[in-house]
Formats: sequence, structure tokens, C-alpha cells
Amino acid sequence: MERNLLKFIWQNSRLKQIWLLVVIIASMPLYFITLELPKQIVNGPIQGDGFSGAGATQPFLRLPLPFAEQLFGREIILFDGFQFDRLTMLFALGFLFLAAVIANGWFKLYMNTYKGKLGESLLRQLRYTLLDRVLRYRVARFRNLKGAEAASVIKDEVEPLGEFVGDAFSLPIFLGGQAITGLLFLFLQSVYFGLLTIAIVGLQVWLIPRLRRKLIQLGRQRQLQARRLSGQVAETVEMAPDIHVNDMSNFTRARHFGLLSTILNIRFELYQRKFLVKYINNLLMQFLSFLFYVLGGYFVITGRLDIGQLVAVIAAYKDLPGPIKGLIDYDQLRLINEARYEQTVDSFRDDGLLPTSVQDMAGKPVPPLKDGFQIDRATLEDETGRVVLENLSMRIAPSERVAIVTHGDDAARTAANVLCAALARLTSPLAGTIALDGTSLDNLPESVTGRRVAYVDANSFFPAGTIRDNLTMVLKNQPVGLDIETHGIGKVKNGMLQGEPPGEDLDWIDLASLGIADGDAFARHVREVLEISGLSLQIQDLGLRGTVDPEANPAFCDKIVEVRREFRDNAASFGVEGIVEPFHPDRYNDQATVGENLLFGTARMPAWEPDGLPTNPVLLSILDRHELRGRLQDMGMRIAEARIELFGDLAPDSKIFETVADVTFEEVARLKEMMARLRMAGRQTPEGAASRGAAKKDKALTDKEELLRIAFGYCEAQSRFGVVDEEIKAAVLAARANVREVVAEMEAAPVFFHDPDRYNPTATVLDNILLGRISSSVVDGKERVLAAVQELISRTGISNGLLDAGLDFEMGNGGRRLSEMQRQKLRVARALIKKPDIIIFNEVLGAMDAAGRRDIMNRILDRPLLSDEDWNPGLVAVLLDDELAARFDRTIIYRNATLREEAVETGQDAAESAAPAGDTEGAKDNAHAK
Amino acid sequence: MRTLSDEVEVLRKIPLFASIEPAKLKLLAYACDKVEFADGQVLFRQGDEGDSAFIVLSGTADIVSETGGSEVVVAQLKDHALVGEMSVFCDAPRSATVRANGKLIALKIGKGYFLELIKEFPELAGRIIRELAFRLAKTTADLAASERAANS
Repeated sequence: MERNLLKFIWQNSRLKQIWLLVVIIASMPLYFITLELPKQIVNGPIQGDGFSGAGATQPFLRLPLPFAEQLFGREIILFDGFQFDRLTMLFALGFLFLAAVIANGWFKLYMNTYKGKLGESLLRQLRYTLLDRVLRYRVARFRNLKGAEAASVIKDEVEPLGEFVGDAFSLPIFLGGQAITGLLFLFLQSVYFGLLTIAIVGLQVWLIPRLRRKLIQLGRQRQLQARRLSGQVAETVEMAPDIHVNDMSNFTRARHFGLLSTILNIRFELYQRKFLVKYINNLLMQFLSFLFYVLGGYFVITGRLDIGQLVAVIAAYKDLPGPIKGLIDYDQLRLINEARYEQTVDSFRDDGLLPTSVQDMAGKPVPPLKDGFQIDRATLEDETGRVVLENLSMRIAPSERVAIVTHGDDAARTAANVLCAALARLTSPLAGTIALDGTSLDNLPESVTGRRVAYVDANSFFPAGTIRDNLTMVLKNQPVGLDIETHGIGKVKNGMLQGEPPGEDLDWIDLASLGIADGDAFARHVREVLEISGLSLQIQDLGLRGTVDPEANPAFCDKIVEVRREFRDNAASFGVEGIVEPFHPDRYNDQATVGENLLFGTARMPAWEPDGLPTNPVLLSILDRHELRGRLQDMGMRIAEARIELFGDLAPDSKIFETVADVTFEEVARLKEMMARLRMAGRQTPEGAASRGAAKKDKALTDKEELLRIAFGYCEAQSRFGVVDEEIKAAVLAARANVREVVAEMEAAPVFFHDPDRYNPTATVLDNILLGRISSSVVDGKERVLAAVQELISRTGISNGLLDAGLDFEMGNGGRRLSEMQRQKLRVARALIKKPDIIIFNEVLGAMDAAGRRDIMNRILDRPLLSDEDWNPGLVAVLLDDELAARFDRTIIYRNATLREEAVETGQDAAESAAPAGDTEGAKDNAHAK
Repeated sequence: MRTLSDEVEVLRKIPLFASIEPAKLKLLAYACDKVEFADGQVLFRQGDEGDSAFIVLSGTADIVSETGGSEVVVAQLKDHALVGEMSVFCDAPRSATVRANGKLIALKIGKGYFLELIKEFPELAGRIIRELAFRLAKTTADLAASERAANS
């Protein structure tokens, strides 16, 4: 990668830089016109120069050929111009000025946009290059790479380069031209002053960069420390649970503070030096003025220079400091950015990058493996650098099943793990070779190993996304139907990737190469893979607890409504009769709270959520209409009293608060205070209480609102305080009907009402099926209802739809919303879904119980693995359950510090039984003989 | 629908709780789940871990001993009986299966809460000790009777 920033910019934006320069030069005349015209306007029409006589006219837009007098000895007029009188001239010049201002502004707009775009596109190129390098690092390097630091380099550190790119070439040329013109003009006026100026400017040019050297160094340090800071912050976030568990928060604070202080110190020194340099720089420029005035004045007074000449010199000098200061500032910017760039490039330098050819898109289907792995005298080391396997020779054919049995022995496990990692190219042998189909793994394109070999261990990371994303991610090798030749991707020139990579939103999953006909067949494939991995039911369950958008999936939602009816009609046949009390528009649901009964639906806006109801003005006015507000407040009061009576005497640490979970000690204390306040208020005038309530409005809920909240959250079936009688129920039902009418008139309905015939998009699939509440008094009611729902699901054939809904479950960062067991199963599913020729299982499913793990492994060992296909992948499995070895063709064990075939013939020397290279058939026979 | 006060009335009729003041009984009633079992439904199974005790409010429960695959109904429990408290006290697995014989309504008391109750109300502890002592005496008498029967 190019280490010099300017060269990098030039290589990547040559033509654009030249165009920019052309535009800048083209804009110059306009710029001078905008400076020149005001002078003409003031001197001409306004002050009246040349308009002395009445009716006098002056030419407008008269165009003499420049330098004609010098060249041809006479004035040549290209255009005589229009003769205008004073007032017309004022307007003509004025409008010309306006036109020039507009044109000049447009040029500026164009240039700034162009520069910005240029900078950003170069930045994109740079970031892409850096990312490309990260992707080509060998896996071993990632052990020492902090993700957050790399992210901070790619995102933040290169950012300022974007602003510099537009100015990289045009600015110095532009300013340099101005400075040279100024200097030349000065020389024309006076050679001595010209020389003097050159001397001072020369001193500046020599001195300032030297002063800035330290500045650059400090800038580098600051950059490194800032990078460390992002690394540290990311670490702290990652280890947050450990920090809490081990009381390390204070040490962590100290650690962060130390780094922050270091950054402060560096920055402080940086500022000190930066402004010192600025000070010296300004001083030198001002010193030049001082010389001009003093020396010039001296010469004038002593009569060696006439005053007119001095004035001309000073006037010429006036134009010089601007460009020179600009140039020096530019230089500083260049140095800082160059340092920044070098540091960035250096931190991404890697001599062992994978060649790009390894990652090129295959462009065509990758044929199945023929010979499989061939390990020749390989020496492998573990992550600590210790050699764990020496001189290993072995063959593993496709569709051969090889078990590696470690008996849980540490050395054996390490050796087996390293071997598997080497087969998966995660580490490479120190000596010897590992080849796949006759080509060494070092040179083999990743498109071959990536598609024909699968590797599963306990470590792979899941990025945030849905289960579906994470499952099918491994199939996204190359967009379908992309023509590599015409697209020109992957061609590398000057360390930069030319051309754009194909779009992310193309269809990347090539069904044909998987031998799958269409989307439906693929969905079947996914279901089968999940079934084998033991994930189907769990994902269905996630689907049951997830929400589905009826607009995206109308058929499924209609089906759910049917299932709902079936569940309701046939509750008895599932043995769940009477357990679920359904939501009926005309009936009070005893298992639901008062608030739920009132609203009779799920909220789509915060104001209609349970917490928002007590302050919801629409709802309150409906309550008033039915004279319910006061009654519900009375009810809240009775509930509060009942709670105080029950729990008021308990000690704060009483176990009863833990077991009878619906209130806490603090809440009871709050209720007591509230009741005391209300009783006081009751004895005073009602107005006093009301104003008191109003005054507290912004704090939290007022006492009255709190009473409503308590009443809304109350469920008679659970608490059994006997405060909900038939009369209240009837009133709530009347109010419910009213709520429905009022909401129906609103533009965007804030509530989705329970409706036996409609799918509720805001509720989970399960709630949609039940459309009611599970009775709290039935033993194991929840479990029985769930079991019934599961049965119904398999009977009605919505399990596929549910699986689909479940696949849309967001897994969270690192897949943390799934259990470790589910993540491990998903890794197995990922290996199966791509239908490779060889699958390497490196101690998989360790989080599962042995029985469950054996079930899954047995399913994987069964043939046919997928229905109606003759896909028969080879397996290399480091087993956690030794007894499974019997189902494999060969068994490899660890003995005498190496992995070898298990000796099956008695009396045979262990060394002999190690499979000689190329003798896979013999080994197979041995296994069969056993 | 039965309210808490109704349940307190029921509890007061149970000898075990007769001497406990109504306010405390209310807390007990509140903390317990009132559960209904259909005919043949199992309250708990022999060998299960004991996490709760039951008080029969109405109906009959069969106590079933399972040995070697065969089931023997060893006793029947009627109104107001306490069942399942043994494994709550001594962390032992259930010694027998208890099954509803006809519709059964019971109060289910969680283990933690039951122990807490005994701590808070020593009268209750006394009652339960008496009950257990009675049962022990009965078991001893039964055992002696069956041994005599076997010897003769």
C-alpha cells in the first residue's frame, strides 16, 4: 500500500485534481471582476468621473486587447462598447456586478461540492482498502487485534483526510502562484526590498517546519492514545458483567482516567507548541512590515528612495502575507495528515496478507471434492506456539466418516482441536503440507474450502441480525448470475481495488449450486436442516412469542385466526376446556385487569399503554360520562386499604414480599402515605384536595391518578379482594363500548381492539391464538394450554409459518438473545445448510446434555441425511461422546504424542496401525472388520 | 366468584388454622393459589421433589403408593386435610402420589412461604407437630398390627 499520502491521492484522483485546478483558474477572472467593479461604480457613475458635462456618455464593456501597446505599439480595441449616460451606466455596472457575484458564487458552490465529493470518494476508497486488508489478514493475526481499535482507525482517524484531499494539490498551486506574483511585483518595485522579503520568508520556510516536527510527533502519540481509548472502552463494555462480579469498577475507572489524563497532557503540550509556532510565524511577518517602515522610512528621509516608490513597495507587500500564511498553514495540514495517514497505513501493514487470488469470486460453480484432505508430514502448533503434532500424515476422503476420540484427555483434545483448525485453514502447519484435492491449502481459493468444507466449533461469532440472516449468511458467496469478467471486480492495481464490489442487496444465495430448485424447496431445505440440528421446535416457539406483520404475511395471519377459532371450538378435545377465558366484546373477562377490560385491546401509542391510561384525557372523559372515575378511584382506595391490611405489618425483609410478588415493601409504604394524605384531604374541603393534586401534576401521578392506576391494574381473579362487583362490571362494559366508538372516529386508531375475526399485529402469535387469558386457578394451566397449542400447531400445519416467523427473531449482539445451546445448534445448522463434502465438527454442542447431543449427532450420521437426496458428506468429528465412534468408518486416537488410527488388530504395532498416506481404503476395511 | 374473605371463612374451619387470627389467615389465603383438579389429575407424584404443600378445601384425594409398577391406594384424604407437607419440611422426595378422586379444590402453599408462615406463627407449628405426631402414632399402630398379622 502506498505510504505517501500525496502520492496516494494523486494515484487515485489524478484527473479530478487537474480538473479542479482548471476550474479554479477559470474562476479567477470572475473573482477579480467582483473586486474591480465596485471601484468602477464608485469612481464612475457615483463620483461622476468622466461624466462632467450634461449628457456625457462613457463606453460600457469596452474591450481593449491586453498588452497590445507593448506588442504592437498601438492600442487595439476589440469591442468599442456601448455609450451610456451616467444613470444608465450606474444600472449597467450594478447589474454586471450582480451577475458577476452570482457567477462567482456558483463557481464557489461547484468547487466546494466537487472538493467535498472528491474527498469523500477518496475516503471511501481508503476505508475500503483498509477493510479489504483486514479481510485478508491471516486468522492468527486476529488474536492480537482489538476490534474497537481497528474500527476507530477506519472510522475516525482517516476522517480528516477527506477534507484535505480537495486542497491537496489545488491549494498550494493557487497560493504559490499568488505568492510568486506578489514577490515578482515587489521585485519590480525594488530589488532590495524583494531580497529582504525573500530572506525573511526563507527564514520562515526553514524555521517553521522545524518547530513543527515535535508537533507532528505529539499528534502521532495523541492518535495512538485515542485509539487505545476506544479499545479500552470496548473492553470495558464487553467485560461489564465481570467488572460487577469482581468489584473492579474502581480499578477500571482509574485505568480509564489514567489514559484520559495522558491524552489531556499530550493535547496540552500540542496546544502550547501549536500556538507558539503561530506566534513566531506572525511575528516574522510583522517584523517584515517593521523593516519596511523603518528602513524604507530611513531611506526616504535620507533621500535615497523617493516616497512614491516606498508607497508602491508597501502596497505590493500587502498582498504577500496572505498567500504565504496560507502556504505555511497548508504545509502544517499536509504534515499532520501525512503523519496520520502513515500511521494508519502502518497499523494495517501486514507482510503475510493473503493473496487476493485466494479470495477471488469463483465465477462458476465449485465442483465437489474428489480426493479430500491429504496431510503430509505436517507439524502443527497450538496458540501458545507449542508444537503439538509432528510429522502427521493422514488422508481423509470426502464422504468418509472419521471420529477423533480424545477420552477428554487435555493433550489429546489440544492435538485434535489444532488438527481440525488446520483443516479449516484457521492455522497453517509449521512444516509439511495439508492439501485438499491435491492443492495445498495455502494456495487454494477460499471459494473451494468455503463451499466444500464446513467447520463447526464452539466459538464462531454471530453478528446482530435475525436467525435467518445468521443461518443463510454462510451461503452468500457470490451474487447469482454475476459476470466476473464484465464486472471487473477483484482486479487489483496499485494496492487499490478498482471498480465497485457487487451490491449487498443482490441475490447472493445460489440455489442451483446447492441442487435446490426454487424458493419453496429452499424453505424445505432450511426446515430439514433445523430439524436435524434440533432447533425446529425452539424456533417455532420463538415464532409463537414473536409478532407477525399481517401485511407482509396475510396468509399466515388468516390461518392463525382460523387456528384461534379451532382452539376455541375444540378446547375440550385438547383437555383445556375452561382454562382460557376468551375475550368477548360483550363480556367482562375475569382473568384480565380492569384496565384491560376497559380498553379491550392492545395499545399502539404510549398514551394508551397501561401506564398512560390514568392520564389519558380521552379515556378520562369517557369514564366521567359513565360516572366511573369516582367509582374506580374508590375502588383503588379499597384495593390500597386491602393491601395495607395484608402487608402493612410485615417487616421489610419478610420472605412474604418475595414469594407474594405483586407488591414490594416500598410500595406498601407509599400506599400508606398516600392513604394518609387522602384521608387528610377528605377532612379538608374537596377543592383543597383538587388544587393539591393539580400542583403536583408535573412530579408524577397525582394521588387521584395513582388510585386510578391501582384500579386499572387490578384483577379480581388474582387478588380476590372482592372489590369488583357486577355493577362495576356492567359500567366497565358500557364504557368499553364507548371507548370503541370514540376510537373508531380517530384518524389513526391508538388501540387495536380484540376481535375474534381479525389478526392483531401488536400482539404475539400466541396471544393471537388464545385471544383470552389463562385462568390463574387451574393447576398447570399455562403448561397445559401451551401443550395444547403445540399440538394444534402440528395438526393444522402452521408450524412452517411459525418457523418462518421464528426465523425473523432478532438474535441480538453476538446472538446473546439465544441460549448458548441454541447458538451451538445454529452453528451445526450453518454447516449443514451449505451441503459441503466434508464437515469438521470440533467438539460441538458442548453446552448440551449428552443425550440431546447424541440425538443430534446420530441424526447427522443417519443416511440419507436430507430426504430425497443422496448427499453424503464426510465427517471429521472430535467426539465428546466416545460411544458414537462405532458409527464412524475410522477412529483416530491420540497415542505417543500423535494422532493415529486406532489399533484394531491385536498384536499389531501401534506405529504400523497409523494410516500410511494413501491407504484410506485399508483403514476403512479395518474399521469395518471391527 | 369467591373473595378473599370467603376463603378466610373456609380456612377458619380447618382445625390447623382455627387459632390463627383472621388478618393473618387472610395473608395465608392471599399467598396460596387456589387450584382445581379434575378427576384423576395428579397433585404430585411419588419421587418428585416437594415444592409445595396442599390443603384440601373440598373433594377427595387418593394417596397412592407405587411399588414395582403396581399402584395401591393406601389412604384417602377429605376436607381440610393437609397433604404434602412432609417433603416440604425435610427436603425429601414425595413418598407417595396424590391424585384427585372426583373434582378437588385445594389451596397450594409454596414451600418457602409455608416455612415462613411457621416461623411467623408458632401456634401453627404446634398444630402441625400435633398432626404429625398423630400420624406417627397411627403408622406405628398400623405397623404393629400388620406385623402381628404376619406373625400369626
